[in-house]
Amino acid sequence: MKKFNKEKRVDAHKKIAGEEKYVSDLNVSDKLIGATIRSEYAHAKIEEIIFAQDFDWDDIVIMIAADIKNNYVAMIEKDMPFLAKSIVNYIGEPIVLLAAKNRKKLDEAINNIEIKYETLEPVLTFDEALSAAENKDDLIFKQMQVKRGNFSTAVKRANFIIEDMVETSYQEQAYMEPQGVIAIPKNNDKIEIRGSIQCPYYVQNAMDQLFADTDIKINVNANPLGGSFGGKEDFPSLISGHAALLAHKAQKPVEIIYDRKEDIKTTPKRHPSRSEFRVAVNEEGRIIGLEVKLSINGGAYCTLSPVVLERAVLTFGCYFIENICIDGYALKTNTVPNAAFRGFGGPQALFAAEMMIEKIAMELNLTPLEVRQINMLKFGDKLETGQPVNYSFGLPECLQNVLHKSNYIKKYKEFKKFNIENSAEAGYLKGIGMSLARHGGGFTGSGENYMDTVAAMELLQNGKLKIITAQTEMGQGVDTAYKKIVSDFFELPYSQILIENKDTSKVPNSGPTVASRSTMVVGKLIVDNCEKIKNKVLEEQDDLSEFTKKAVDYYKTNGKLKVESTYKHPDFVKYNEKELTGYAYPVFSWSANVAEIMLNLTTYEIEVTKYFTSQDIGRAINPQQAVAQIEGGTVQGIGYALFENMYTQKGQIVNNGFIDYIIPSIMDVPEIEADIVEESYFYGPYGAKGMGELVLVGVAPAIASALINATNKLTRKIPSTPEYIFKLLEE
Amino acid sequence: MQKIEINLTVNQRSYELKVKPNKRLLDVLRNDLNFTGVKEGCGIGECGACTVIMDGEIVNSCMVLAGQARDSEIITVEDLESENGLHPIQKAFIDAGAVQCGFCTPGMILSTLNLLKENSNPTRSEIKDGLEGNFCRCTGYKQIIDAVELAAEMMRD
Repeated sequence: MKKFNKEKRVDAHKKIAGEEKYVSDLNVSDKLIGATIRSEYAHAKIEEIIFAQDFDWDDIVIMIAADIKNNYVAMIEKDMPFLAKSIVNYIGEPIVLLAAKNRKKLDEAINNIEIKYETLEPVLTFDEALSAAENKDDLIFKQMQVKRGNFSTAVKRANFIIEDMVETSYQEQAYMEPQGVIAIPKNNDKIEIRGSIQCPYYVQNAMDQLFADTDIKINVNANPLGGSFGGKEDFPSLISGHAALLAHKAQKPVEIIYDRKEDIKTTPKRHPSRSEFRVAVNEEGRIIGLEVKLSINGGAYCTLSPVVLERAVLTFGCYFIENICIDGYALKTNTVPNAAFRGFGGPQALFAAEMMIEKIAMELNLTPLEVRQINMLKFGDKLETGQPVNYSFGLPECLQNVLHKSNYIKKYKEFKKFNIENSAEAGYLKGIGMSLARHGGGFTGSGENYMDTVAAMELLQNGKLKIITAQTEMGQGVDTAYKKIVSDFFELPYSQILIENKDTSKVPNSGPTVASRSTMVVGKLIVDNCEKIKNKVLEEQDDLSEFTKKAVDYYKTNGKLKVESTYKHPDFVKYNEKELTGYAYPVFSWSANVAEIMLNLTTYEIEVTKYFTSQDIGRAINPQQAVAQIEGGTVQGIGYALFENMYTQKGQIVNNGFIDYIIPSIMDVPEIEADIVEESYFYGPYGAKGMGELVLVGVAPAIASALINATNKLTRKIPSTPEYIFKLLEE
Repeated sequence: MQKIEINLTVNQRSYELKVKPNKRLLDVLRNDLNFTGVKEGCGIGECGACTVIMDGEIVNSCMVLAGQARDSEIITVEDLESENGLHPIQKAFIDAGAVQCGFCTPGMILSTLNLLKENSNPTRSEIKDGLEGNFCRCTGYKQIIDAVELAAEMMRD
């Protein structure tokens, strides 16, 4: 096995010196500031937009829907406009764009615009959406079903039929750097977009469609991102369009940077979900049949909801269930559109699956561990789509690790005893819980094959190598992982390896920086490119000792050398996207998790005191940063499980700052013991597979399971706030 | 509103400025003086990305007005690296793997600087108290706490 270069993160120095340039740090002269005027109603007809006649509009750039020829943001569907034309579908939907020299002018202009509406009936809640969707198909963005066997015959054989319903709420990505882009027009027919953009080619595609039938050429240059977590996957296409439209009209650079309030109120979040399950169990506790109706609230426009839903229905736990039918619905409501967030449907489905296990344990008087062990996937089992689990399957080892480290079995009994005998005096309940989780690496189904992902590498005159991909650095450490891969391959120091800017005029479309695919999929192409360069420069020799010298000689004789590789799945990875059968993912990553909590009986606050996790991520390219990501995902998961509650009122998100939308602070961090299981994936670079999302998806169910140990009641809702726990204990 | 003249010392250099008294110190530092290591994360004093040290105290520069900062001494993250190289805190943040997206990092480093000035050997719990005003969404904080411990050790040596 190769030893990876031990140098630290390649971007760390800039970041600790305050020298990293995020979009708001760019020094662009003569720029205007852009602002968005938004709908005040969840559902309404725009009757009139009135620009005050006595105001001097000369220095203000204005855009309304009528000014935009191709008024749609290109995503899966074309339903979302850049600006609402006649109907608004959620509170906060953009209606008018303005740009001016400074904030003061902009504020004056905003105060001189009035919009008149005729209100319409909105669909706001899950109940409203589900009942409305029964009669109106256009309130369903997507419906899909995963099915194997026959649930009704399983019911006949079952000793127990157990039903329940669980719900998950919104989660805000809460990247530290708010959304922002700047559009810079050049020579009348070019616009450069710079910004906090996770997927430059998504924005490129959206801009190409917006400016189709014109001579305007766009390039998209992604700055380093101050965090993203999916939040800057789809949304930058919308604000890039806004900035570009204003900049084109003004022929001046236009910057749109949201403040935190605007960001939380109007940008996409994790889909709230509701899962109703009915499970058929035999007397030993084996699940022989399962029926689930899993619904997610997509908000007002389709965005990425169909693919979030698909991942959800394909991630229902780590158990072998012979007869299974999962019906998924992505529903349309008059609320902020929801879209990508780390985990992408997985957190919702895994919460439901793990609460199903807990419910079975309660009904059959088994321990939650016993029910998990009885039903857990075994090597060689087939998943609900027919995909066999017969390689890179580290789940059993992960489970062994966390059980051993946490002493779960002993504590499970001890805590129950403590809660009966000592909790009243102590003033708190103790709980220990667990979860099993999985996450498929790369796009679902045939997505990777459609993408034609291309990555390039160039040999420069001085013998240095340049890695050329569109994968953006948002904190996850992709630049370092790529340099490590190349550095190891050629036994070169980092200083001999460069990374091209993530600018669409310079890098090929290596696909979006999403779906835990950057290391697994694009990283593999980097290895392929290394092979190609090595074969050319060293002429099939293996001696790397004089690589740089030979590379310089090669360049002198042959000139520039640039190689490319295109990704294809392994041959046997085939998926039927109509039936949802076959290989949903080329490989899964796995985790087992144990959480310990204390529940204060006066305030009903919950503190996570210890967290143990073991994660099979294939070969860890950068072990230090892999553990850092596990810890970061754990803490983000704690927020999801316990405090990150978003309140809505008549379709409006009420809490919009960190004072009332509570993300974990340093005070909320438990002791975390993380270990990595490296079940090599034969097709990934050096055996690596995906990890960026796995780290979050198992956290909330482990904490919810610990709550059950403490309360003896099923946790039906996350976040499990003190208010919820209070009601639960009063039941 | 009329502009006022203020004197500010930032990173040991003195600046004479004419600004509106209600301009945020954050904007003075970022826009007038180009110290873009100071970040804006929330604008209402909740996240700590805009942390600077003012007259020896940690402040959120989004909550300080230019008028209030008159004649004060400010330290931003740009002050830490010297001709002798990186500050031990900066080294520790790199070595402990405490940097991910980096947007909270300048604020974290300045809170650490002040913490270690007051307490050269803090416990993990004291470190938490010292950094509770700084949010990070990437790291899960553990490696940041490790970095502060490492920095304290290096600075004591």
